[in-house]
Amino acid sequence: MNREQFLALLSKKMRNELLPEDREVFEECMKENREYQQLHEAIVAAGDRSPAAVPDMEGRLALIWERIGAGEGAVPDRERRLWPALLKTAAVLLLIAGVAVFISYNNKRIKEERMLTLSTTNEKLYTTLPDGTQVTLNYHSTLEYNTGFGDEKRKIVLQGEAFFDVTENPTVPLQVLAGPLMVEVKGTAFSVNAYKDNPDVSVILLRGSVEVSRRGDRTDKVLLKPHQWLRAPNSAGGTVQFSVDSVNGQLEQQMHWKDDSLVFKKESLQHIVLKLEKKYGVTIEIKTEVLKEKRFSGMFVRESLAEGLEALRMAYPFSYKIEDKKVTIR
Amino acid sequence: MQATSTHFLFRQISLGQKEAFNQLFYRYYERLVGFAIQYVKQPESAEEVVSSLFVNIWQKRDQLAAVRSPQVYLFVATRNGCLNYLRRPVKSVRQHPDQLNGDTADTLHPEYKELEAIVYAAVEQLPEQRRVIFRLIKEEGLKAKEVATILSISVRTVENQLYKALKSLAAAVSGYLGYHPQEKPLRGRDALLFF
Repeated sequence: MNREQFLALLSKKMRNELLPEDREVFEECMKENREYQQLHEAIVAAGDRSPAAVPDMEGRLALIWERIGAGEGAVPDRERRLWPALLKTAAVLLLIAGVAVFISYNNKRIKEERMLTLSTTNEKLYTTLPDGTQVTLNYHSTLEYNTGFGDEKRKIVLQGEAFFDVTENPTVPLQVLAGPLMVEVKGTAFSVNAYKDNPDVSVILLRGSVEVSRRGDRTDKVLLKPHQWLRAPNSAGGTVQFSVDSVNGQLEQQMHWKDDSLVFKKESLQHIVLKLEKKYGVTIEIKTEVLKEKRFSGMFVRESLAEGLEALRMAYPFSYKIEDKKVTIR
Repeated sequence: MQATSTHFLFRQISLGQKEAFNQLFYRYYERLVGFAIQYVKQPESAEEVVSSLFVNIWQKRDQLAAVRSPQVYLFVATRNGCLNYLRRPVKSVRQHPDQLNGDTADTLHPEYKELEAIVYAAVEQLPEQRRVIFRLIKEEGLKAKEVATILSISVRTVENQLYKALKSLAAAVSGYLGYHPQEKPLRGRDALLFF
């Protein structure tokens, strides 16, 4: 093998792209040629230069915390542009990872899985998951989602009832395990009802598309279209009979629970306002940009719109004006 | 496994865990400074860029959850920080000569064995992009695709540059060891090689 071929293989080896056939040739080659062996050793096996020795790491760290504490001001525009560019390039990387994730999903990862839990008892909860998916959790429900939600996996386990407005992400499908069912979505809005004591488990699709199958057995699948309502008996074992109906007029009634009283934790004003609009039947406009991202935690029960706005104001001052069906916040 | 742990650290940081932030610092600060020095030359400037990055990470921690490849993100952010730093308006300050050639090899690595020193010096002599690529692959263990993302170039370019880097290093090593092209045992092939 000539030197160029050897170097080409060496290059592949460093990139971890050496195929098994190549590997044999490579090792053979080195055995027979002392120079190549030395080259390999010198370049690859030799130690790396030690990283830039930084004295006093603790001191550096302390300085960084000091700067953070001093509230190192608003990020200049130049740096703000960092984010969209990074997310775009990150999306490209994910396309490659996407396939591998799909194959190894379920069962294999269970030991490493850590789940975070949301639960409700006598109140409802409205919150946003790390990938932007909005969830409204009904009374007496528990929702678990994986750590790193949205990175390579989106898995939810539900006991009770929840309404999901899912962030579109074609490369990371979202899966909800509820009772005997597994619901897989790409980007859509739907509700799942899987209370332990209910005889049936329901999935109602508002928009988008979801695929429902038996948990642990993906061969029997149903693809739901908007305004379809799937019901299945709430028991493991045996064949799960799906029954699918359309819900038209009934849809609003079925789902209205998600719009009245609710609890929210650290939700942005922008999102809270969406809920208020539905609950009170008004349109709300936030005039000050900064306000949109301000986060609030709280609970609405039976207040009037004005009382609700007053309550929010006590946490962070803003002014508002109610004119008939239109509210302006600034 | 490294990638998974960094993922985990990012998750913890986004939840406000200061200890995770500190761990991230200890794991990456020196490496990122080493990477930054290749662009900004001055160790103090490199530290300034990387420190600012860490401050930024904490302040924007609620966005960390959306980052898909934490390690790549750190290097991309460092590189961008360096480029921004280099673009800043310079007053009447003279550009200091590159402090890293030759000199540093002695001050930082007095115990380097000779052959390694040859390789190290040869790496320093590589043109900037080639050197950066070589180090990211060898020292940081990043994949070609990741390096391509960090430097905003194609994977093909990464592969070509790595190959050329190896050629240069091989030449330096062979030269030192006293090999000449004619003395190489040829295996039934007539090959004329130019360095």
